[in-house]
Amino acid sequence: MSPISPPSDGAVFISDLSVRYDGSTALDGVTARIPRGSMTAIIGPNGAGKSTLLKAVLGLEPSSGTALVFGRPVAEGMHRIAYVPQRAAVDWGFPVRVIDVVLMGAYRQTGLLGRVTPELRQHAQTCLERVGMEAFAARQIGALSGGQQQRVFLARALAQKAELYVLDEPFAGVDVATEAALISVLKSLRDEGATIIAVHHDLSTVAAYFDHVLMLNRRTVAEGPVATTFTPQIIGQTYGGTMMMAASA
Amino acid sequence: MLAALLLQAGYNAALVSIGAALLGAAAGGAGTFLILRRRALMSDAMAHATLPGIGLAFLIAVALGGDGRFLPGLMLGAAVTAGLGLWSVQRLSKRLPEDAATGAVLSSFYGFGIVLLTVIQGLGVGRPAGLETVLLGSTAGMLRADAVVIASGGALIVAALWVLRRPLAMVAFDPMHARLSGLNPQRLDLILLALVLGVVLVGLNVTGLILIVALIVTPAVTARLWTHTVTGMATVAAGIGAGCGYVGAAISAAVPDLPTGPVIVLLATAIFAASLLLRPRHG
Repeated sequence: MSPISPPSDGAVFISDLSVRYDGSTALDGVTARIPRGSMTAIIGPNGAGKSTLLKAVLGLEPSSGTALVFGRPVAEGMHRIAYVPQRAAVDWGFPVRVIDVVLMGAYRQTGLLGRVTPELRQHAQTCLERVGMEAFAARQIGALSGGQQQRVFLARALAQKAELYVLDEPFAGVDVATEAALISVLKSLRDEGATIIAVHHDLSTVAAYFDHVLMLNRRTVAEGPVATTFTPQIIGQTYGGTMMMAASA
Repeated sequence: MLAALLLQAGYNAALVSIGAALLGAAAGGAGTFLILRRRALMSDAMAHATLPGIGLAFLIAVALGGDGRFLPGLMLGAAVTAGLGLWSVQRLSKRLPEDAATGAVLSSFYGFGIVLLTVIQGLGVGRPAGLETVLLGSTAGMLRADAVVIASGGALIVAALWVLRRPLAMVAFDPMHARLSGLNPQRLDLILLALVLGVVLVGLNVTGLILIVALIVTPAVTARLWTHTVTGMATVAAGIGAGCGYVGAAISAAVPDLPTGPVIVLLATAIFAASLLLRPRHG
C-alpha cells in the first residue's frame, strides 16, 4: 500500500516523483495533491525544476514515481489536459496563421482524415474572441507581439475543451493588459469548474491570482492554500537566505 | 528539346519526365516537413548512406547470376544501408552534437560506398558500366519499368504526405501539444524519415544520391518565401519540385551526356534566386 492514497476529488496527484539526467537530479521525490477547481501556482527559484515537473506529470519527460490526473494515469486522461508552452519554446518563424494554431487545439475533434468543418472554424473563432484576438485570425503568428502570441496559445487551449489547463510561465514577456486579460479568462475557466496550474515567477501577484500554491525547489518545500502556505518563512525556505530577508523586510 | 518538353519525344521519354515530376513533387513536399522539423541535413546523410548498399546489392545480384543492374534490388540494398546510417546518426547523437554525428555518418558511409564501387569496376563482373549514374543521375536510356517505379513511388509519397499533413505540421510546430492531442511524435518522425528515404530511393536514377538533398531542400525554402501556411508551403514546394523534375528530365534526355541531377538542381536554384529577388522581405 502506498503511503499516501490518491484522493478521489483531486485534479493532479503526485507522489515521490523524481527526474534524473545523467548524474544530476532535477526533481527529487516531489509530492503534491492539487485540488480540482483550484488555481494553483508553482513557484520556486530558477533551476527549481518547475517546467520539468509539468513535463514529467504530462508524461513528456521520463520520470520515476506516481503522477495521476483525475485519479487515473496521465496517458488515460490526456484528452482532458490543455498545455500552454513557455513562449521561448515556440518557433515564431513557423509558417502558421493564428486561426491554424487555434484549430490545432481541436485536432482530437477532426482526427487524421476529418474535415475542418464550418462549425469547428466557428468554434475556433469563438475561442479567439474569448481572448480578444478575433481580429487577428488571418495573421502570421510571428507577426504578433508577445502578449498577443500568448493569448493565441490560450485560445488553442480553449479549443481543446479541456478540464485541466497547464501553463508554463504564461505571463513572461507579456504586457500588462494581456496579463489582466489572461488572468480574467483563467478565472472564468476556474469558475466553470476547470483546474488551472501555472508556473509563476512574480511573487507579488501570487496572492491576487491564485488560491493554491506549490513551493518547489527540486523537492516540495510546501503545498497548500495560498493564505496559509505562501508565508514569508516558507518563501524564505524555498528561495534561500537572501530572499527570506527581502520577504520579511 | 521542345519535343521532349511537350511529351512528343516518345513514350519512354514522356514516362520518364512524368516520373521525374512526381519525384520532384514528393521531394518538395517531404522537404517542407523535414525543414519545419529542422532535420534537413538528415536527408543528406541518408542519401550518402545508400551508396554502400547499392554496391553490395550489385555484388549479391551478380553472385546470384544476374547482370547486377536490377533496380528494385539496388533500391533494397540502398534502403538497408540508409536505414543503418540513420540509426547510426541517432545513436551517435546521444554522445555527439547531431550535426557532427550526421557529418561523420555521411562521410564514412559514402567513402565505403566509393571503395565498393571502385572494386566492382575492377572486378569486371556483371554490367557495372553506368553504375556511377546513381551519383549524379541519368534519365537517358532509362528502362520503362524503372520509370514506372519512379512515377508510382513519387505518387505514393505525395499521397502519404497529403494524408499526414496536419499531424506532421503539429509535431513540427509543438511536439508537446501534439502528444497531448493524442499523436505520437516519435512515430511521426520515423514515418517522415521513411518517406524522405522513399524520395531518396526513387530519386537515385533521376537526380542521383549526391544532389537529391538539393531537390528536397531548395523547393521547400523557396516555397517559404511565397506562403504563410504549412499546407501552402508543401503545395508550392511540390509544384516547384515537379516543374524542375519535369523540365530537367526533358532537357537531360535531349542533350547527350548531360546528367539529370545537376540540371534539375540548377533549375531549382534559379527559381530560388528569382524568388529571393521578388520576395526579399519574406522568409
